[in-house]
Amino acid sequence: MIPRYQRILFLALMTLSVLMAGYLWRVHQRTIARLNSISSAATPIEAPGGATIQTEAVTFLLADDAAGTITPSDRQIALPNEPTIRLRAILERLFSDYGQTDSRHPLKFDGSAIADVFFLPLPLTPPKPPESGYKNTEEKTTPSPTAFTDMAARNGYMAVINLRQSFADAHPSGIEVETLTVLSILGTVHANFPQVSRIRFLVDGKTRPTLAGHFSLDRVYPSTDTTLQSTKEIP
Amino acid sequence: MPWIRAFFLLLGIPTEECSGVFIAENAHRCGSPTLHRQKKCSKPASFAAAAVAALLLPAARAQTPAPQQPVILLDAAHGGPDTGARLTEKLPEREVTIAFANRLQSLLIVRGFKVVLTHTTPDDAANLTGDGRVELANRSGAMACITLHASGNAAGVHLFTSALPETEPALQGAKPVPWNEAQAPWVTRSLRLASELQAAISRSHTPVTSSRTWLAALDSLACPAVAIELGPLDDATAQDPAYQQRVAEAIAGALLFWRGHPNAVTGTGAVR
Repeated sequence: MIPRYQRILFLALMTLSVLMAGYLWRVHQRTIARLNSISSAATPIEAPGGATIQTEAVTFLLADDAAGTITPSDRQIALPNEPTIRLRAILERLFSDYGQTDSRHPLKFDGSAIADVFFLPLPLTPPKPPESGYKNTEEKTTPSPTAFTDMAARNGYMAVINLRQSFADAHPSGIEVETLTVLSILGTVHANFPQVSRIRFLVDGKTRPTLAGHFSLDRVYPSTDTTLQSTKEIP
Repeated sequence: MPWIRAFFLLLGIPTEECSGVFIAENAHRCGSPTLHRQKKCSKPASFAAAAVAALLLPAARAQTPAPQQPVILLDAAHGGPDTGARLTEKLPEREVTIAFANRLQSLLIVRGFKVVLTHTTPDDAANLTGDGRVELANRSGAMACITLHASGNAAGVHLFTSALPETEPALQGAKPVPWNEAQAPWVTRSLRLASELQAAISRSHTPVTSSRTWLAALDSLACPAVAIELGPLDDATAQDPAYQQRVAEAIAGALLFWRGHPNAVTGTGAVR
């Protein structure tokens, strides 16, 4: 025979369990409804502070493997003001386009292609000290603060593009495909940074003889318009 | 008697001391300076003697040293541990370039060229450095240096010349030439050679492009130099002998034409 107090306790616990199950079911239904309302919202989340993003026209020189050409193409993208970050953003966008499956110059690589980008004023040799009239040796060896700027205005800058080794290792091998990649970079830098007169490549901070077994990557290249018209003769 | 003398001469038997002069005199009238002996003992030439001279002079010409054969240098890119690009999963670039070089070599030899190969099998190139190839090419005195490549990334044939700025040899004077800029005085000739090759390959119903690039193997060559990248037209032609033969015949034909071209001068023999 079950004691009375045990029967009362059992019924009380049973009632409590049913009530809790009902409450949990209610909460579950509310949560699903709230998540559905968020995912189906068509309006994008706006940037905080109501800042407006300024886009500007950037010229990319895009390679086409099938035609063997490099053609300019203008895009509107948002860019930072600082020159090195700006150049890096442009090149990242260029390689992002080449990373697409429907690209006309497809390049497959993981992560970022660019490790670093920086500018050097030309010429790379230090300026000659003044001939005479200075007694202080410090004055002889230290150029004026604007010396580099003045020289760069006359001779331009060298852009050093430090590629990631993972990008170079994964690059397709062949004279044509390697040439198109480098000419595309050179032309894009020339189109957007007219003050750059020379371009040099490093791979993970070191010189590398070739990009992927063919194109010499250890030279200093002139920054020129590398637009390449098709010379293909199809019989 | 001139008739008797002519008969013996026809048989190749000298009749007297001055028989050679007899031929020389008549040959001289025909404008051939092959034999020149000064002793005057012949009588006036007759028609028969002239005929004999005409028969014998080609033989005499044949005994003179033959002109030097024009040299073509073929460098099958990669080799040894360097397999180069992959045309298919199991077909490395070095296999295609060496097969193509050997095929082109045969076609050039039958056209009267002397062919210098940097290596003949992929394993021969195991100890061959890039500079070693260039040094071999610059020593060969070739009238054309052809570097052969292959790639699966672009269809058809792609011709490349050095992107170095063109410099006139006359302006260069005695200035030392950097090793990786030896091609600069030859760029104009290389562009002409590429133009001839492009025209010939196009006539063979093969898509062909021509452009300029920075390639260490080209920039150090002191001869008219072109890099040829052979791309398959489709998966079937990656290793197709008929496709390679068609392109090789076009190249051989263009080089035969280049042989008579005013820009077909040999290299200077630059050595590192």
